[in-house]
Amino acid sequence: MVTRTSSFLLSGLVLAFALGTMWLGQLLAESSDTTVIVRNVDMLVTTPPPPPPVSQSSQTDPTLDIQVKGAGAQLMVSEIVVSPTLDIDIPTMPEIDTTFLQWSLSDIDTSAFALNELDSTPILLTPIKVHFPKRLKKQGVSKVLVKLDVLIDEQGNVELVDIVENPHHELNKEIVRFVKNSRFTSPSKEDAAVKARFIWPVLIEA
Amino acid sequence: MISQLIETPLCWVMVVTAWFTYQSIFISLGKQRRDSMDTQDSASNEMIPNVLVGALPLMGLLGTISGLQLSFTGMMSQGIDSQLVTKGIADALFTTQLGLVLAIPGWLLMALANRKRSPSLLQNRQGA
Repeated sequence: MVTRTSSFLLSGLVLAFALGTMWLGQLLAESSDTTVIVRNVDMLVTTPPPPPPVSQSSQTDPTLDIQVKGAGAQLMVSEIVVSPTLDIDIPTMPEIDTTFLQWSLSDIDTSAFALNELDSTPILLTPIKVHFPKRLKKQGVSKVLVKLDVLIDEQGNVELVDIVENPHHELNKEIVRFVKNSRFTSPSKEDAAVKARFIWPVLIEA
Repeated sequence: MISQLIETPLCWVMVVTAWFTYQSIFISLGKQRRDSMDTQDSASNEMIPNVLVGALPLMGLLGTISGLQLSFTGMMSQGIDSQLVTKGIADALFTTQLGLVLAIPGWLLMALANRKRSPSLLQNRQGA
């Protein structure tokens, strides 16, 4: 029991010694730079040194005597006479014949009829097969509604004029492909086959 | 320094561990002086202070790491010049210093105990 208490005290002593050493070290480190001595420094203003004396050095320019014998260079003078009058033909005004005007119109608009002008709406004959892009599938897109401006000729062949509405441009190639392959019933107006142009909405599903 | 020692719980743990380690070393020293122990018992007695003295600087390192972590968290949340950053760095340096300062006397005492034990062991073997 005696050894236990004595060892307890001894160990406390050692601990205190270690901590004290540390504390002392920090105390010394802190106290070393606390005093700041401010010294008054007197400045002695000295007069600036006199400028160095300017030495008067006289410099004589060497005179150059050049004597050239002979008559010197000759200058040729030629007389140029400029006539002040100029003969310029006044151009005549080009005559444009405005009586014959040939308006070049694309044959798309001339003979194509809208849907409401036709006897009946053309019916799609071929099935639409669209390869849905995987990238769109990965983005979680399963349905895309595109609106196509199409022109259908008298035989029912489809020509894609424009893609009016398409939120995903990855589908553009597929749209061009399936439009080329699709076929309608020939549009008719008053029992005559005509061209038709209309907006064709297509719902593409994955 | 004292406020740092009191505020950080790890420092308390280190001080208590150091005290316990010194005490056990002293007890083993006293037992050796009386020369009334088995060799196996002494081996197991020596192991605990050995491990604890080795653990003291490691605890200091742990404090360093946690202090740096605190300072970097402060840097992340409150900017570089915040008080949390400086406190973290101060803790980090202080715990390392404390760990080393506490471990050095432990190592010295362990060396002393080992030197006293080996002649006594030799005497025991010669006696047997």
